[in-house]
Amino acid sequence: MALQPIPEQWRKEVCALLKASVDWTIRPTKGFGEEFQKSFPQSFIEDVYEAYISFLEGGSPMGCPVPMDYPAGETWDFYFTFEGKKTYGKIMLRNDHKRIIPYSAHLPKKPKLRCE
Amino acid sequence: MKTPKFETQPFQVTIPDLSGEAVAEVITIPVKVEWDDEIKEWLLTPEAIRQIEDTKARHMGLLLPAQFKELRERYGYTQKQMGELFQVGEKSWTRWESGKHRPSRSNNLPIRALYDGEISINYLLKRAGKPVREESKPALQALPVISKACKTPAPDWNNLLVQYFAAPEKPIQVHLAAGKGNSAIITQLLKLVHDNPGAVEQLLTEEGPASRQRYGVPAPTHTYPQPRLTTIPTVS
Repeated sequence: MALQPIPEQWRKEVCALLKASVDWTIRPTKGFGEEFQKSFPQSFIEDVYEAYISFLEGGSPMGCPVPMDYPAGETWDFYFTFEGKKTYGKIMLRNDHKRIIPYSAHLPKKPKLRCE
Repeated sequence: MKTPKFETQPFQVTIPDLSGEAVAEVITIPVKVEWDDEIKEWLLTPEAIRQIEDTKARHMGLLLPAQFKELRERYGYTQKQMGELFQVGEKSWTRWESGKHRPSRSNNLPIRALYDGEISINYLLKRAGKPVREESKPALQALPVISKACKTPAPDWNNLLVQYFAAPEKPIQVHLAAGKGNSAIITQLLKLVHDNPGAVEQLLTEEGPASRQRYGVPAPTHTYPQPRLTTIPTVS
């Protein structure tokens, strides 16, 4: 397998929800918060949403589709830049297309994504 | 439809050191999380995220969203005007006030200084090439200081005086942070208290009566009960 272009429709929908920034549309996991705190002690959770958008709206973002144990939506992981550092990101767009679950925004724990 | 399941769980908030790269402190706070049965994960509630971010901001010395609003309202400015004053743009100010984003430490520094009374609004206006404000109504200017100290909104200053009228034997306690550097306001407040002794029992929390001496205001000579106030006195 190799890195794949992240589908445009998925990116559009995720970015729209990130930009709307309505409380109930973005619901990060507790694990997201904990790992983010460890990787970026000086940063705030809200800031990473902008970095997600910059990456997903940039030219041809690549990533991997993630098979989830409990598939309640379509999930992609990818590397993006946050605070000038290579950062691992993972987001699920839920099946209702109205909510997203940010799973990860932390410093990479592995050198490559699983589909690389 | 299933009933949402909420729990309060501990969450570790990391506070950065001044370099921003390392962790200076880890603070554990209780946050409300919601169980998502579809994905079998605990999710942070919006309230939890605000708690986490506010805790971090407070420990980093950043103003909180409500304090941005309080500062702006202290001067009766719009968000656009505040953005111009600190040369950060209306959008940034609006985001800080709404809590959607937090200021950087460097942006926060002059704003915090104004909030704490360490620099004057006129200094900033001059630097921004704008006309300075008239230094009038010192008693009114002092209201945010008083209201902050009393943890009540500024208009409640009136109510405090009403309370005094109702029971003059119970003087109002005003905690003044005399060490905050705004000598003009403190001088006027001390004069106000001096001219109307008994209305306010003055407690200078940081420097005590020494402040009176420092700012050249003599101690009250009257004893209780004092003539009642009918309006908030304006000090010239």
